Amino acid sequence: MTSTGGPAASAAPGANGPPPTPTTASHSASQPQPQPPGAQNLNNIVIEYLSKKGYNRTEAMLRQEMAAVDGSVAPIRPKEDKYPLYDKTYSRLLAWIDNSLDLYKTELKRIAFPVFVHLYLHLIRANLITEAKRFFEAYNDDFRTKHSHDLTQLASICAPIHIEENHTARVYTENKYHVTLTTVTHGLLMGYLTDQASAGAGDVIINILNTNCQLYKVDWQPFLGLVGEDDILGDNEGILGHVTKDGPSSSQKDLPALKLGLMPMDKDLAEDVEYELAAEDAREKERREEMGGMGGPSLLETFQQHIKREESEDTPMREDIPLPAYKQTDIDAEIKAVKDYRDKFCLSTISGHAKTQQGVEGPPMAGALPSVLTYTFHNTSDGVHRIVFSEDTTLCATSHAESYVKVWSLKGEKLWSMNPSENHNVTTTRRYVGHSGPVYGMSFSRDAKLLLSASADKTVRLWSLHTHTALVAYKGHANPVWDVSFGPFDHYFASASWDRTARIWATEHIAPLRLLVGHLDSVTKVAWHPNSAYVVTGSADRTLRMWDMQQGGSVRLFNGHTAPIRCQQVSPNGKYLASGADDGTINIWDIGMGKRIKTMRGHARLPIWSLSWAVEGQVLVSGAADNTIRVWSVGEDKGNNASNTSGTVGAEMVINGIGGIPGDSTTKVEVGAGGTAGLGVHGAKGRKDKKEVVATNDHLAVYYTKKTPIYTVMFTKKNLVLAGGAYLP
Amino acid sequence: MASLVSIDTVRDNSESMGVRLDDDVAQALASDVEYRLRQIMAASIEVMKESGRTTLYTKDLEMAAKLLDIDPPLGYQSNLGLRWGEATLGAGQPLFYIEDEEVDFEKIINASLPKVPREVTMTAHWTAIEGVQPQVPMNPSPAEARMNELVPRGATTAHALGAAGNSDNATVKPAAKHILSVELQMFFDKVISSVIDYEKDDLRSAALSALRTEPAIHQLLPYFVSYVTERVTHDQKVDIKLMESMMDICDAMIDNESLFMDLYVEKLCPPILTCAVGKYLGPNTQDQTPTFPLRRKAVSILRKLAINYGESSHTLRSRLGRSFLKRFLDNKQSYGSHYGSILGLANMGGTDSIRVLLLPNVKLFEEFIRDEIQGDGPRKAEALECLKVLVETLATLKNNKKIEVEENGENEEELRTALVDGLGPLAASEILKLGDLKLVKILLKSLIPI
Repeated sequence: MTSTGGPAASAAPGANGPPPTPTTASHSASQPQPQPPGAQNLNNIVIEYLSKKGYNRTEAMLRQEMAAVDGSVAPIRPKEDKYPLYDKTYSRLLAWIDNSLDLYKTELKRIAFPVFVHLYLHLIRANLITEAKRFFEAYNDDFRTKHSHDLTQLASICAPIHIEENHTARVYTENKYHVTLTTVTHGLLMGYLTDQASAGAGDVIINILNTNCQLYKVDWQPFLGLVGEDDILGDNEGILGHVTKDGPSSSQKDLPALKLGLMPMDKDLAEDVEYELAAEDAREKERREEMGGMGGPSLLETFQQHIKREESEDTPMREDIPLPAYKQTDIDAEIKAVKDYRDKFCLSTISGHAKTQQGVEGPPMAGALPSVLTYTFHNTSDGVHRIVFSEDTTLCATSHAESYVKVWSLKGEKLWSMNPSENHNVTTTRRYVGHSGPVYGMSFSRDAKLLLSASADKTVRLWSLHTHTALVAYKGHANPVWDVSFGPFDHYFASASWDRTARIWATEHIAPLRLLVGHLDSVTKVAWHPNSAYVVTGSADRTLRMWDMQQGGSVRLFNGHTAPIRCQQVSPNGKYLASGADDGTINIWDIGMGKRIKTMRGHARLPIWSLSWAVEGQVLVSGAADNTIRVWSVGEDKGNNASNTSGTVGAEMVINGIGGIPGDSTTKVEVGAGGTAGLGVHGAKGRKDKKEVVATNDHLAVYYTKKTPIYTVMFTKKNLVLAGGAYLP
Repeated sequence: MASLVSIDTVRDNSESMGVRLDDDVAQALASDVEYRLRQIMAASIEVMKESGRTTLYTKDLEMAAKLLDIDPPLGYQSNLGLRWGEATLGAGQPLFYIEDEEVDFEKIINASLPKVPREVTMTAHWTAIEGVQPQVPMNPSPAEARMNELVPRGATTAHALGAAGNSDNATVKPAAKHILSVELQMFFDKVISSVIDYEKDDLRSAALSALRTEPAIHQLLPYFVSYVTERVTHDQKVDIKLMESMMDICDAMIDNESLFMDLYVEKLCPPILTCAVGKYLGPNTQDQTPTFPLRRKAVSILRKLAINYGESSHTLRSRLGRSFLKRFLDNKQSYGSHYGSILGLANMGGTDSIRVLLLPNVKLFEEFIRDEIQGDGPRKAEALECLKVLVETLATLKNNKKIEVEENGENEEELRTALVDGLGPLAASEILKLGDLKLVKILLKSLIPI
């Protein structure tokens, strides 16, 4: 992969300021030399002089010659004429892209957006506000699907000074917009630009591409490598924030190596657990012999085959992440985990049998769908922000706009406090008062002894579920804290804030241990990698980042969402990442490669609030603001495109659209507007526009609720889904 | 793009404060105001999303203003709708303004307090059971889910092809069809036919033990449950033996460790309860004594259910106890039903429930059956059985370690009268026949209202 410095050598090294006017920028020898700005006045003086003196013929001659010069090169007063020029240049570029082969179109279209944005910003900067707005109005529709968030932000700019202030505008002016092109397309673009330059019109674009964009040339064949659906961003497209290395992050050797294996178990702990399990097995055997029944695999076997994590090349070192010594409760927790694992409701066993001829695992069949238990909260008047369940399914917590957290017992047991003085009028709920602003994210510790809550008062608070009192207030964030999450070993936790940072803390320190800086906008969510060595953050800048807990640096950047991220979860095996965004799409990423595997659509264009992986990692469940819970098949994507490149989903969809047509006459009537079958998919989408979303292939099931947006979904260790939502009549 | 804030607006506002602005300045100010507005809107939308909402409230704007270091506008609340007034400025030029009432302090201070909003509550229900959405009131019906046009709803069908092809005429299937393999169907038929075939005992026990141990019949579970329910509903007054077989099936399924029964406990309870406390079981309504073993069996199965699944369905035990107690206290029920409910109460809650629920009502019950026993009616045998089981149950109280009585005795005669007083003559005499003084003392002690 090579990185080209600029598209055309002829362009002047540009600064960030307004582009040179065409009068000064034209370099071609066939053009008359442009006149310096002062020449205009001089001419006027000369003409005045000539007419005063009565040299009429000379004056007429001079006027004639001047007119010829003015006619071939555009403006004398840039203020008036810039707009038509920009407009013409841009529309010509669009026309050229539109006329190019379909094969290259998708790629070339990517160029259009940065050019559009910067032309618009140039116009604003030149204080041509009405023209800028007219330009924006004329062309912004092309980018609505992909970039609506940015467009809304940019539309608000209406004075040059706003460019300096506006966050999005600054992101565009201060960073380079990355576009990856295949060799052929790159060549085509260069050819076009050179043509235009020699005709004296492409300079603005060249300038923009030089200063504000970073083009990458890759040696793939177009279509095979880079085709994406129209409303999916390319892999490295866009502004990626602080990229430490040159070059797109897709080339694997450039990426920092990751250890995605699960954290090895403490040897002593493993031994203790094995000892206890062996004892338990013996007891169970005895009982079984009495009853005369037959048993499944023993606990010890289950543990050794599925749960026990041993050190290997792929696992992080225990020494890297200091953890407190294990306790009896840890042993108990491990034993419970083993039992739960054995007793879980298997979602993937049936799919294991459903192999197609190529040995590709089919999606799990209907029989393997999970059971969903929904907890609905009433009388909330939209004041409940988040709902979380404890991992042992005994407790639930809700965060409220009225600055308190409420803990609910799911088993209907009274919440006694260890402190006897707190035990008057004990009910099945407890209210935790202490925050001085609306409360957002919460997180239970794995052993359900502690609860963390994040609030607009810039603090994170730790509560004890034994005494039901506040323990610590962690201060450090400069703005409201949106989310907080306990790490896999309950010792560390991470928080995300409007101040564009995420922070890693340990419960026993009041100051953060790591500051994760790099997102360009508010950090919305944090999630831990199951091995505790990495943290994944999602941001309103539409990217996700993975951070090394030890080093505190960003090790992966996941770019491709077109709306702010609302939730993300790492798969139980630590290899995949699922993320949900504001526009109702869910992406699955390969963490090792740092690439998107697929995009799953089906939710309405409303935020997805929560995602959860099944224990086996084959099934994903999502809860969203469109009042539905949906089940997705994630199954490893080893299908037609083994090249591990992005955008295969789009192609699959079209193929499936064709496959679905024969033999189904109603379908034909249905898609009549679309014409061909392949277009049917798009046709349906186009017609219903933003109202109805066509589900992708991996959409397994949908469950509706009664006017209850689902704030949280969680797979329990036994593969039951718990969902929480607030009824909003 | 028409700008939101016109120059006139800016000028009007400035003039109201006594400042005259030039056109240029007003223009610049207008565009700046617009920009600020949009900036606040963008931030407040972000705040709204973080609050898990899709409706923008004034509190979001307030928070956004705080985030952007702008003095938040005070005095606006989401729950008070802004009222707009309209005035005409000459030739059809309407002027809108916010009605800003002047309110007396006195009035506010002396006004009654606003209603306390209702406390947030929580309910739980199954949204899906093994992938199928049950049609309970808490879930929307398919029609409701489809009709709710106000809310954007995303894809309705579970598959891309369906969505692309039949988006409009998609027929809503009530529930996903479960396709059973031929082997499983054969297994089901075979088990059912063997269990109700009383001739071949070995086959019957083989079938039951298959049901008890076979790990792979999970898919059949709902079919067995509905079969049992159906048979009990239809044949409870026809065939006691069949009922017993049904109880055997239930028993076997509960014993099977590899079945995930939790979801079916609720469905399984009614038929078993029917067999335990049904008014008349079997064809012979005159003599219910033959049904008593069936009732006993049903109660013991319920006990097992309550023990095994009391944890996953924590109200199960109390609900069962309640239905038993209701039967027991209802003197319109048959003796058979009373028999079942006494047994049930004894088995559901252990000695505590006997002491608290059963014992205080013994005297009433004794009066109820006394006539039947002393007379010579057709139901004497049944009444006697009831008395017997009642006494048996009461006798178990002596195992309760929590009640302590002094060993050395009082007058036996006193005890006797006290017991007759507390339990009625018949029951008292039966208890005394057991000849256990300690039991008598325990009973007397427990009879004192707690």
